Amino acid sequence: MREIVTVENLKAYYFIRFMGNQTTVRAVNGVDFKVCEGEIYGIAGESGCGKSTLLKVLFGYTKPPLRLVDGSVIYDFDSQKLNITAVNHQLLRRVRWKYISYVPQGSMNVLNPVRKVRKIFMDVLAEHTDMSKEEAFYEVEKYFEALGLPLRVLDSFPHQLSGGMRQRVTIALATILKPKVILADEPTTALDVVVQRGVIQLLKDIHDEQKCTLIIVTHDMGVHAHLSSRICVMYAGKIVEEAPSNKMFKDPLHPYTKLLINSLPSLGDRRRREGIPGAPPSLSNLPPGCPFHPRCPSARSVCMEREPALVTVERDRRVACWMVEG
Amino acid sequence: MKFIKSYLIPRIIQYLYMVVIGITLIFLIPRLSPVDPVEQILNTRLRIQSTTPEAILKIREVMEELYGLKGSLWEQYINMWKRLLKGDFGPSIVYYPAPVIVLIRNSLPWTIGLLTLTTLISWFMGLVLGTFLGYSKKSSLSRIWTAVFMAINPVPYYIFALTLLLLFCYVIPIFPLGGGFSVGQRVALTWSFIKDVIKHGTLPALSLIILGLSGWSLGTKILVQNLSEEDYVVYAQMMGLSDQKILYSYVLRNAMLPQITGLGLSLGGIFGGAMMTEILFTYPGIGTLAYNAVRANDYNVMIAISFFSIIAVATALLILDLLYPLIDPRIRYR
Repeated sequence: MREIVTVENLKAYYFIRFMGNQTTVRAVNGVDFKVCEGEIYGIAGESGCGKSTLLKVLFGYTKPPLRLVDGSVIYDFDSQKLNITAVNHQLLRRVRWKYISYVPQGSMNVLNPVRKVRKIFMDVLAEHTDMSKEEAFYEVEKYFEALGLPLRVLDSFPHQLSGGMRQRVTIALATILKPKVILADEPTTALDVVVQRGVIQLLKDIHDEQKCTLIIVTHDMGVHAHLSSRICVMYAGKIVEEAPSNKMFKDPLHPYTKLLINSLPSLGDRRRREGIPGAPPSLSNLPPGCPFHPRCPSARSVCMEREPALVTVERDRRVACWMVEG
Repeated sequence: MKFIKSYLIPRIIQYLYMVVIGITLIFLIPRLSPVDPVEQILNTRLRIQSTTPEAILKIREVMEELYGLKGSLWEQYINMWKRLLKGDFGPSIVYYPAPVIVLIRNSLPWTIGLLTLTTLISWFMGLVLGTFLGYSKKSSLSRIWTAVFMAINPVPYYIFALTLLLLFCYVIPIFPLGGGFSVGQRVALTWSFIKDVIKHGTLPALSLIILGLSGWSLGTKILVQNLSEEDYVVYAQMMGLSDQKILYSYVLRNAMLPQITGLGLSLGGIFGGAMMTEILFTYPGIGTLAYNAVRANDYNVMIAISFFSIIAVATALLILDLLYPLIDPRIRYR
């Protein structure tokens, strides 16, 4: 299958200057992966591991204090290859939403409070298509019907909608132009589990319908189990393990992945769930060696001295751990 | 119908008790002051001419009648309301026997003309400029304008106005020194009179507009700057919407909400006059009238001006309350 997104040695840091002191937060610290066309690629990890930042960089949205330091993100659309980290503002604006779109984290406030939902959709259509106002008006209705969303939502203001409906509207907004790649940043966070399921199903339906590529970031391993075909686990700005999701859940290789998956409850299992001891390291002050070693149950002396590289262990699996021989 | 019952009527009731409380206060406050206006006038009179005790008593009685100071406090209060509702504010003392209502009727058009125009102009320009300053805060043009407004804004009004007067009436004498129109000019709706009024009004208007503009711009700038960080504005940028669209429908539309409240209050405040402006430019408006009334202890005039101010501010607030659901949907559907 064709690789639609190729990320190479991506480094993006936050440079924060506070009262003369410069701090560098290494949020994305040398990430590389490839996503195939039509795939649902999951990015997992704890809060503060750099996954949202990674997604922002993938969308070409690097605003100070975030700065791209190294690497590239190459999109391969039918007609052209595009390095999104090196295109100008005009092209970026044309590519966004039509080819790559973005479902934000916490959709509570991403809809303009004084604008009706239909108007927001029409703004997008007016910007990216040649549709007349009237055509756009009906196009939005058609799309809502296709997604099975109630039409009354269109004539509401955002504050009149529930959180789950707002999230669905945001997903509809991000996909109305049928983009090739959808980047979803924690689309189910802040929703209760029943609504989460509906939102996940909506994303899955859109993915099946439009044959798009979906890159989804969430800390919720349950969502990944349900949705993703391939998962990478990030820790301290780096990928520590990448595998097809069935393999990852059945046989995790990295100790961190093991702990993450062990913390998930499963049906009929009444054992106490264990959390991962300790807290994720500060991205501005990483420990030497493997960044996970202070929390790792099976750390050895080599883990404290040298950082393991991400090595391919099987055809479709990569792990960064001294315990696993490549 | 539900709108009238649950929205309109409570607001009108609120309006009425606001007016009643305000007017009760302007009734009470002068009566708490140790200065007795009747006594004061009698004193000045008696210094000039000698009068018999009977005549003094007679004068005192007439004066108390005129000032509404006859009877107990409660009777005075009821009498005041009766007279106010008839539009009778009594005679002015300084311009005796001219009724106060005539004085106000003569001054009000000047003040309303000057202040409505300057308030609207500075509000609108401030909104547009402030939006620009806030949205493109990194550009050098925005930085320069911000610096200019920051420099103007804290200048005390009287210094600013005097500087203008000095510059444009003395150093470069292109505007008249003061007044609403030239001496000898007949008040009529003729072209030469209008031209004369505009010429006299330019300098006070300019002083109000420049200072008002800097205030409104800086206020709007900060609002817009904060709004630009809002999730929905950032997301609109991510959607690839044009800057124009974002600025107009996403930023300005939201920034306008508090600014419209500000405009309403400023417009309501017009009826109090711009005292400093009118005194400095000897402009024949309400401000000058109020100033002279305070200096001469002209109670009836002071009370009438306060009365109109209270009514105007309360009405402005009522209108705002009624208009607000139209501009902010979050209030409409509560």
